[in-house]
Amino acid sequence: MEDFRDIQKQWAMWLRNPDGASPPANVSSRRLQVYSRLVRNNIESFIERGFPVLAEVLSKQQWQSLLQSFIEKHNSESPLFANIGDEFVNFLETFTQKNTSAISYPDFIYQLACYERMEVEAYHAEMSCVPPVVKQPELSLWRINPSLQWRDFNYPVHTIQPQLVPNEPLPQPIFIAVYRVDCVDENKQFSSTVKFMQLNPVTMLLIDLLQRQPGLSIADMAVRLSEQLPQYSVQQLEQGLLTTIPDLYQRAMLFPFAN
Amino acid sequence: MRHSVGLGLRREFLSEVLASTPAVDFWEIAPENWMARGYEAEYQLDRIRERYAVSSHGLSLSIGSPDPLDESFVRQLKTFLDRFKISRYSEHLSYCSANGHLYDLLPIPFTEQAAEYVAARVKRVQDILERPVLLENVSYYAPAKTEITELAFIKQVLEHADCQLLLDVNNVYVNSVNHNYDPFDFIAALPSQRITYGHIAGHFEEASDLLIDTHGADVRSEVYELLAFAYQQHGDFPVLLERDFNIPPLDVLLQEVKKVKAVS
Repeated sequence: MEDFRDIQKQWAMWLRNPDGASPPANVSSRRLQVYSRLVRNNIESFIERGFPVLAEVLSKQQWQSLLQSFIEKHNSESPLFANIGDEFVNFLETFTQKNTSAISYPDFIYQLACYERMEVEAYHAEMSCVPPVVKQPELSLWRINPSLQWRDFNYPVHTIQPQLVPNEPLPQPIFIAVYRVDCVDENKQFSSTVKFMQLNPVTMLLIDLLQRQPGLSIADMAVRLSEQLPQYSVQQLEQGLLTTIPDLYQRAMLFPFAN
Repeated sequence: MRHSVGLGLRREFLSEVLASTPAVDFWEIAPENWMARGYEAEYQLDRIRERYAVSSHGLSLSIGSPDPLDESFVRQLKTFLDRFKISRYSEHLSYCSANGHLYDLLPIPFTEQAAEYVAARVKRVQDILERPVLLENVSYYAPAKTEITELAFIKQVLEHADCQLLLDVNNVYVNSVNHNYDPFDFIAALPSQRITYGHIAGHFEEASDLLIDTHGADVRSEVYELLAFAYQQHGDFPVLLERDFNIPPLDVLLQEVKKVKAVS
């Protein structure tokens, strides 16, 4: 007796690759097409909404072929629709190396997708990101806005658009932070904004330090940073931080601990 | 008699609901659209829960999947349902994954073996969730296999899993056209004691013999008739109006809720 699971696997194989796999036996092809269309439209609408820049810079043929490869080759593990974009980024991580089709893709597509996904991740961060009030920044202990993520990029992903597509990687990587700022008004209406910020290497080290070790004072940070930046004295670093920290707090990248 | 009628909660009109708090018996949410969606989603859902009863209707459990049951997802689901004190949880008698998720509802082959397999998985989910699972009769466009009938399949799963049925009257109508059977006979043959919840929605007529369950249009008069018939046959149960595409303004949907409430 045929195992029903074999029928299901055959359906799934065909749905992932209707042009290549053989269709399930004894099923009306017109009716099967309905499923193929529903599966594709649904996944494509999630990806298109999540990666508008990537969709725009690729040609229609590249984009369609990329979506087809994703549906066909990637086994998405997450049951959550919010994570389809994550699954797509995971797929892209190795796609350009594995790609054997006649259609080629620019090398930056994975990094651009990571950058676009960071915005969604910032919205999905679970902690409240309403900046706490601080009166004396120099006396506070600090942590990073809980939604903030940063990473390095070898391409200027933040400026990519159809008329501005990089052909070469940058001579030096750039660091970009993405984070969310929340606001609750007097009617309890909630609103949030996602912000993007290019980091200089010293700020990147500072953010990395505070992410690994929340709760440092400005004096603590100066001592810790001097280990990584021996060209500066602790005093010089502390002087610099007295300007940088209030600035990053103004931008809601850093939050003070309640004290 | 005035039935209890709820409306599917959509982000499209969420802030309007929070601002104007219209009279609605209950809202229904898809947990998959609210889990891991960040602080704002939790904040809004807390505010909805302060004012309203909420039911949940899952999308991605994939109860009939050939892939192993995703127990870690079921545990996350329990955390979510407990967190928002949601007791009613329903899912589709369907599957949406095979070697990974396809994110769309597919028809389980109607075989006795499949019915046993699904029933065992439903029991496991009920154990983890510590809640009854209601299963929805789904719409489908092509049967994957009909070793037994759709009706026999549904009844076997319900009996062997000892679970309740979410009777979706629009799905019965869609299937009756797509697979050429009498929707009244189908509804009459369902076990009354297991029907504890209902869904109603609009569909799209792609061809005279092919209806697509889009939840994107007003409920058709034939489907209202089926709901009235279901009440006559099986007694009263709460019903939820689903609208997921071409979403009209909230007050238009609330008028449609009134129409559903008036069905007798």
